Amino acid sequence: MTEIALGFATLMDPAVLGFLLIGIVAGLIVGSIPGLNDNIAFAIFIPLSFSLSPTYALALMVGLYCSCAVGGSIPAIMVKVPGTASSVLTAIDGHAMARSGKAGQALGIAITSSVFGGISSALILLLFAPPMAAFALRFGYVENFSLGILGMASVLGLLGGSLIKGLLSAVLGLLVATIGFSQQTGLPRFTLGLDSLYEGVPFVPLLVGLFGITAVLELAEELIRDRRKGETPREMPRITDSLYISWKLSKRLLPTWLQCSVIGNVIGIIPGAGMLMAIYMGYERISHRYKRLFAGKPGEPEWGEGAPEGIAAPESANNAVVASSMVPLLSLGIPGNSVSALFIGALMIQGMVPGPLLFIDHPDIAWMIIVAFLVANVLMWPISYAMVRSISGLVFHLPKYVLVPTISLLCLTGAYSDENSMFSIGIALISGVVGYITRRLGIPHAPLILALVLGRTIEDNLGNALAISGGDWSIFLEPTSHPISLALILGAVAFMLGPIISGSRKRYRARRQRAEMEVRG
Amino acid sequence: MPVLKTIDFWSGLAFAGIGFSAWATALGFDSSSSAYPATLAATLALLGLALAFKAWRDATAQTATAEGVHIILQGPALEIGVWSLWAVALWAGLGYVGPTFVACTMLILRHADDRGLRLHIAQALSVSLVVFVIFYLIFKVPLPELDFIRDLLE
Repeated sequence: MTEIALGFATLMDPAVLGFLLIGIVAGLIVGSIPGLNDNIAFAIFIPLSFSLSPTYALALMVGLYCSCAVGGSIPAIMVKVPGTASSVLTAIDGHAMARSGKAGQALGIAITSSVFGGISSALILLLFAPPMAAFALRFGYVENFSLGILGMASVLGLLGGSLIKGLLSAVLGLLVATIGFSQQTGLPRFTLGLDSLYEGVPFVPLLVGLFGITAVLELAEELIRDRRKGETPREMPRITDSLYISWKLSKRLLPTWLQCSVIGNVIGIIPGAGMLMAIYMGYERISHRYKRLFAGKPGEPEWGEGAPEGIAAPESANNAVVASSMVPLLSLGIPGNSVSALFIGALMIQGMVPGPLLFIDHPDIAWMIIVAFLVANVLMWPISYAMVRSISGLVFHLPKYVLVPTISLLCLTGAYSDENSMFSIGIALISGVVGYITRRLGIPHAPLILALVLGRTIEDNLGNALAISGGDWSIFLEPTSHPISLALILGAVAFMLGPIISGSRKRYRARRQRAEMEVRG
Repeated sequence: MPVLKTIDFWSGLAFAGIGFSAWATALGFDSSSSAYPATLAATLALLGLALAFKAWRDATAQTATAEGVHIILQGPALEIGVWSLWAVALWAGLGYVGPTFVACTMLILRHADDRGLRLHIAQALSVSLVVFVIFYLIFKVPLPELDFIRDLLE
């Protein structure tokens, strides 16, 4: 309780609270602009935060992270263009409701569902991160290496698509992380004779490039494609009905909120699983429930044609991922998703390292972050209600052709400000190009980011563990002296084998079905 | 040969090339610090070859189109080109606001629907000045600005 009070005391400084509010408002605006998302918002704001004190900067980031997904639901509902990827399913039922004159109602459901999911995940963060961090303090080199492997395996195991491309992405990230001084010998590796690379590739410009510049290049491509197709921006419909949802509807949506929040929280804690997996799982589950209980009844629309549960499910699931994705980051130093990986950048810029030691070295900051997630979600409810009408009007007056150079400029100037060096601009540009090319090649970014974050830790802990064991690799699987390491390695194997086994099963079933079809006729 | 048109085939070979060259470089490090990067580099090369082989085996791999290449040249390639020139201008000591204004004007004029030169120039100027004010005046970032502008503001 003393720690929670410490977190509240740090957060309740009026200036800190002010930055949290600025973050919430900025997140709502950025999220509501189609094409922009929480990754880009972080890429822009992380370098800006370097001149702020740690409490201000981190409060700003928490506010930004919490509200981006809510912002994304505004254009999804109003014009069926998801502001962020996490609102892609909200657009289906949300826009159908808006078309039938219930835009306010749809937005009200989206906001309330997001707040519900967000508060649930903040509570999960509060309950799980501190004990996990305390447990992780027992970890030595052996356990920390196995933990890194588990983090990488969970990302690779949960990837859809090509496993080869996922592995390529991970290995590339691990290789880039070896650039700079070797921790074992102090000799430089892959530095190309550049002094600026001796301490490794600067992390903040690297992230700004991978997220910000890559997104700008994709926006520029989209701009050219739209112009070729002759597409003009759609007109924004007006909100004519009330935003407030009735008590009766709230009671009806409560089971949806609870189920999807649980799904979002579980997915959020697993590194690499991501928001999209949570919203698809939640949406799928609730669709069955809706079809069983409501579909076909008088006054109830079909699923996908304006069902309130179709908005509540993805919105509560996506916000339930937000704070819970910080559980592995704050307790173990492993980012739960790409935005929490960017959070590492925000912490590093303030001279802090996420992980169990954060609770020892900077308890005020660690607890403030946890408490800020709770407070941000509570504040987000009235702020979103108050701002949704004005935001929905404002964002559709922003021309994309101005947005593209503005974001580029903010990212590149931000990269420069990291070390006041032109080298950082070069890193941001190069990593932006690499990010864009790898995306075009269908190479997932999640393993790359995680490998960049964990690469050094994995190598250092591997080197130290092998030095202790005299080069004996079985130390990682030793059940008596390192049972935690064994459990982590077994978890990693399970993560990797799960999708391989389910893929083989699917292929076997498809082959059997084809064979049966051929026999029949 | 259809495989020569697949993106995965060429990207696989490119990764294999990067992997092999990193592996050769890593072998030149001292023995204590070379094992880990050399293993990673060799793995990267093998995975690249596996990707190329898979693209060669599967006929359904994604292929590049002339239109796609044209769009990349007009959008992302132009964007990177302009900002690279901007970075060179900053490095050459031409100041911050001037090159920024030129870069923004070029990109806005290139991407905008035709709504008039004056409006676009005003937009470019606003973007340049707002970002300059945020970083230079509010956050006190020592941007590489020309001396006379620096003196003017101090």
